[in-house]
Amino acid sequence: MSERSFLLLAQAGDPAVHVLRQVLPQQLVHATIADLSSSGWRSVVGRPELATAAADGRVIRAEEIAAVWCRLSSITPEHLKHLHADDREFAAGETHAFLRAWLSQLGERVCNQPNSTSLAGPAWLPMRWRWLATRSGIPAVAATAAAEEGEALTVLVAGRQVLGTRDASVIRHALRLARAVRSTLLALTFVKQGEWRFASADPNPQLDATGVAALLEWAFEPPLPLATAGA
Amino acid sequence: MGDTILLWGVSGDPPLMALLAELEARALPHHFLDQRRMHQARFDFSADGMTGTLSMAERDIELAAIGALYARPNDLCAVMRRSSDLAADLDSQRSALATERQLYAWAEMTPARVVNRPSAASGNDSKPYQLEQIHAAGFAVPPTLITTSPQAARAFVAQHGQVICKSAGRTRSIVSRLDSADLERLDAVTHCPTLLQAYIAGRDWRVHCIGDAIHACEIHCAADDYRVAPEQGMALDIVSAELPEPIATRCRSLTRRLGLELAGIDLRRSGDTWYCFEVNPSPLFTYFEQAAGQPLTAAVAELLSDATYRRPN
Repeated sequence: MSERSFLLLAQAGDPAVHVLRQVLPQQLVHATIADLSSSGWRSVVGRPELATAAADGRVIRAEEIAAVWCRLSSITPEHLKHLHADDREFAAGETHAFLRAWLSQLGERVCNQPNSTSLAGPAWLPMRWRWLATRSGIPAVAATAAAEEGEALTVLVAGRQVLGTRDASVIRHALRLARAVRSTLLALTFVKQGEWRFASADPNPQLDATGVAALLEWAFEPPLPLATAGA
Repeated sequence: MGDTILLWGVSGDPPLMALLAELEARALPHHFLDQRRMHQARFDFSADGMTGTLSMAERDIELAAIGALYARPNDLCAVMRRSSDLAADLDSQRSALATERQLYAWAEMTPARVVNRPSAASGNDSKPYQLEQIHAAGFAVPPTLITTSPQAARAFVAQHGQVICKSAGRTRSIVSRLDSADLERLDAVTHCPTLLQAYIAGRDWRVHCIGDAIHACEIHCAADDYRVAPEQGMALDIVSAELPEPIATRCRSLTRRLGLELAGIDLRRSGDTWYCFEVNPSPLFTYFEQAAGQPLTAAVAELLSDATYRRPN
């Protein structure tokens, strides 16, 4: 592996920090919400290569970042207790807006692209996931209640791998759905109802050692591209 | 797909009220889902999540009958906080929030024309994110930095001389050039990412792109932010004007690229360069209609009633 860093944006105490720290004691950089109120973050419109982050007491340039996993779905006033109470609501909105732009600039180096519902990838209602699955040619369960009717299987898309199954149809469905939402980290549950049918998705799963290994294999490939004009 | 038009927002909002009056005058079938009464609404989706019924206080509407949705929702929590009926009724608040969450999802899924889909509109919630998209669409954008680094902020000011500061998020802020007192406070950017933008001198334009129709007006004002010019005692004159065709084409292209059906585009002409500052996906078009005498409400009504619409893949 190179000496580039893996940036994890997560609350203090998030189990993902411990899991990743075990395998990446040197290269993991953990940015907490409080770090977002410290000197060193930067985003320049039209110049993704100038983006910087500040965490673990240092400033990291875009070129030093191999990959980013953002586990913060949003920044709310309640997250900013280190700021004056009168400033929290405004600062939360500004910090959230900044992070959406900053993560977007990091392009394919970000596990799950931020969107209108969450900074950590699509936080959608189950019916919207099922709708997308159906539009993508993937059979889906009829409704949430039906998900309990049949054998359930949860698989993990991590990087380019699908973990937790050898079933070719599930692997194909999982990769297609992950591509549809530009995700490189997605837990997907399927239910056997004659064939495997999509039931639900979680864009912000906790990982075990196998999942971490797959994610890091993706993260430390030759440098993934930053956002480009028109992306 | 039917021909009923659904309006979603809060009663009293000028664009919504103007549209309601316009649809009534044209005898176009429509319903208004008032956020003040969201707690009385219910979705009953069929298995596919696409068809079903929206039940409102007095009536049931088949989702398949809705051919267009005009979405101009406010923050529902804020609407309920201001409501004397709902402020203390937690069950009704929970019900309203759950229903509206379903409405947001349906607005993304429905084949009906949605003006505008929430996912497309949300780009405006992050100004630097939207500026990236505007830049990618071929418009010039002002040099823009957002940072928590006082050093980077000072370097930006040194490079560009006149710099403005404005909100990066949803909060509406008054745009103004930094003065010497502001410059002395630049260390404060450490606490919160702060958006700085090079000041661009020139003439403001507001362009409303409504489907393929373009309605432009030129804004004669000496203030940094013309929206607050009257409050600052400064003259403001908004006049209907014609955009050069290449710029009009670029505005249409930008609107489509952002996935919008209706956009209020803020331009500034500086010499021969047209800068784009922002694309408002939920413009207060009635303000410009009154100021410049443009038929914007009618144009939006026509867009919503266009039966030829087919959702792009």
